[in-house]
Amino acid sequence: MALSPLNQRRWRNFRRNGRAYWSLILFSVIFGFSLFAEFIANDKPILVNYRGDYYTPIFKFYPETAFGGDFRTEAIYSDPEVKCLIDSGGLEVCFDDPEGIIDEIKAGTFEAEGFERGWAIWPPIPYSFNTSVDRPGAAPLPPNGQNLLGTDDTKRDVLARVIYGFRLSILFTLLVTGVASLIGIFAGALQGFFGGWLDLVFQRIIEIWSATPSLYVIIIMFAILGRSFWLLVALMILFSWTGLVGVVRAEFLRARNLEYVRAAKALGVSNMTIMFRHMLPNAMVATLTFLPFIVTGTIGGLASLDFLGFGLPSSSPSLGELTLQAKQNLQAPWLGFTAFFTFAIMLSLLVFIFEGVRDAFDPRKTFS
Amino acid sequence: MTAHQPEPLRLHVRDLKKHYPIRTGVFSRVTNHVRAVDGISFDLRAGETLAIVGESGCGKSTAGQTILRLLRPTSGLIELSGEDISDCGERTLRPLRQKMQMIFQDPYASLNPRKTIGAAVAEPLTTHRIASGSELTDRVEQLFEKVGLRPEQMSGYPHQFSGGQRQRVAIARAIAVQPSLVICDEPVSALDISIQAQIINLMMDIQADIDLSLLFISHDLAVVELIADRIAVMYLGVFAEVGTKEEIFRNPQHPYTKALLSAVPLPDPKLRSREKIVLAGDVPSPSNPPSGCRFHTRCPLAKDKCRNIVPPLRTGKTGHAVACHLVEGF
Repeated sequence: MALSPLNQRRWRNFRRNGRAYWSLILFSVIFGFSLFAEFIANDKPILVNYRGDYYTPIFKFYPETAFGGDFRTEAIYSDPEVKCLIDSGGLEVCFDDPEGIIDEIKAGTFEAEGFERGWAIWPPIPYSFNTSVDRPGAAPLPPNGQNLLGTDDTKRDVLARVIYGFRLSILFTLLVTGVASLIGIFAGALQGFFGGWLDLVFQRIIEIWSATPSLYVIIIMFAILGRSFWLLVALMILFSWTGLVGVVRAEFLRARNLEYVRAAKALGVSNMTIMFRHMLPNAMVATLTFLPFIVTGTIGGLASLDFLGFGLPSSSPSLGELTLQAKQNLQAPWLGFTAFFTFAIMLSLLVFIFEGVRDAFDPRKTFS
Repeated sequence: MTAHQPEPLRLHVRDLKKHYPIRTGVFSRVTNHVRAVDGISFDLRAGETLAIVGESGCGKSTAGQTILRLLRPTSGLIELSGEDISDCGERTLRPLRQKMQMIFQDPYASLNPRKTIGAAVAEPLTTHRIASGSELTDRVEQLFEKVGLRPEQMSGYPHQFSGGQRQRVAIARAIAVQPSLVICDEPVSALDISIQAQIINLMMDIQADIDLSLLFISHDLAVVELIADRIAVMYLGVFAEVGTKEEIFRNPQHPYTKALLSAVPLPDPKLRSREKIVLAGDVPSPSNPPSGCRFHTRCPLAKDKCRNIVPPLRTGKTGHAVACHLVEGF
């Protein structure tokens, strides 16, 4: 894709801002990895070789009977018996002493009729966000080699939950911010450009709307319709689009009397073109200045809902819920530290990136 | 075309008014009006330049923008090449804008800081679907050469250019669609004296080239003397005197015109001994203009009649028109 000279200049300016540039790279790497969270933290193997055939349990459902077991429910791959069945090629002896046989197979001393060596490639973290860790002791368990960041109070691996939670937070935020900004910019542009009665009426509507206590409405709507990701996205968009209207409206009110706008009008350029090709690019710096606040606000909003227990469905990986657990389990500091550092790193990276974007969009800014 | 046959009429303005309501109180009641333009009439023929001169706040810019229909006139008639544009909507106007263009005072403000100057000149061409693709680039290059810019400068941004260069860009943008009328709102007053002459010469060259009618709004009589064919002296929303350049400069009739002319600085110190008419006071408020002749509050010759009766704009034998009770037989 070829960039226009203006965008090339912006990109150069952005790269010259080291902090923003490296934040973007780091953030892209983290977010990129988290998009493949299923391959990083999962309680199912990535690839299974059983009696010469290949299985991909992450993508497909396989009953335990496919590996020589008894149940027609999905195989529990972390169960020692299933592990033994896969390794040994589905031998009945696995039901008696699976761990012993696995050890023997590993040592190469196991021999039996019908034995066919099988294997499974596991993700680096063999737990998904909702897997109960099989580890003795009372939850929450402290970090060790098995759970790098310990477990939470229902014995779920914290690292796996953070990876999934990070992805969910970012996707949620991108979705909400993206849609809310589009609506907000459009509404603000219309109001600022046309002014008059349209502006007056819409401003009053927005004032009333933004005075609505959004958390209550979200909690009530959840009580009526049940908790779900998409409902939360819709409600958050409904309550956050007003954030940008004020800035964009103000920028347009200022810009509509500028001479270059009059000049464009005198040229016969249509209103929509003037609004979105002439005025919006000039209003972008002010708009971009506000975006980081909306992004961090949305992340914070989701976390606070989860923290209060009114957020996403209870089984979903959530950083807010982790924070709540950290508060309830002060004797387990790894929960608090994990939540703190995850939020701190995530929000700082985003703010640094947006700071760089904003500077790069400023046409008069010169970089030494 | 022979000298007896007048050039075709480009712009026909009759009794044009632009009033702004003043709203006060909780219910925004309209209590008064600012009479920015209060009934002006003139004709502009092809290839002709009419200059509107006056002090700041006399309504000359408002008149320009109203004629271009950037503002909606309160009343009056504007005809562009015979077509009434005084009351039509934005949609009907848009194609007509091809025929009338504007050059603004401040070349720092009239160019979008985020568009290259090439894009600025190309915009009228794409808006009116005159050219696209490589033809567009060619046209923009030609325009750049015409106004004395180098085509390589197309990809630069306005802030990289000087005021004079930017005004050249604004001129290129205005003439891109080959309009028949260009309204210049103080196009050189933001520029250095040396640059002013260049820009004026450029505009005169272009005018001769494409048979352009210019409505030149200015407060600078020295500039007007260079470019105008006819001059309209405006005071507080109305014309005080209209006439050819020669008539206005050599034979001014209205006391206000005389005062304006005597305020022009002369480069020759020997001539400085000439009589100077210094006007007292400020321009009265256009929301509450003086009764009778609008100029009577500052006029050194004002009589009782001037305070009560509005002087009509009377046309003399040479087409010279004056709105003053005291001027007879000019």
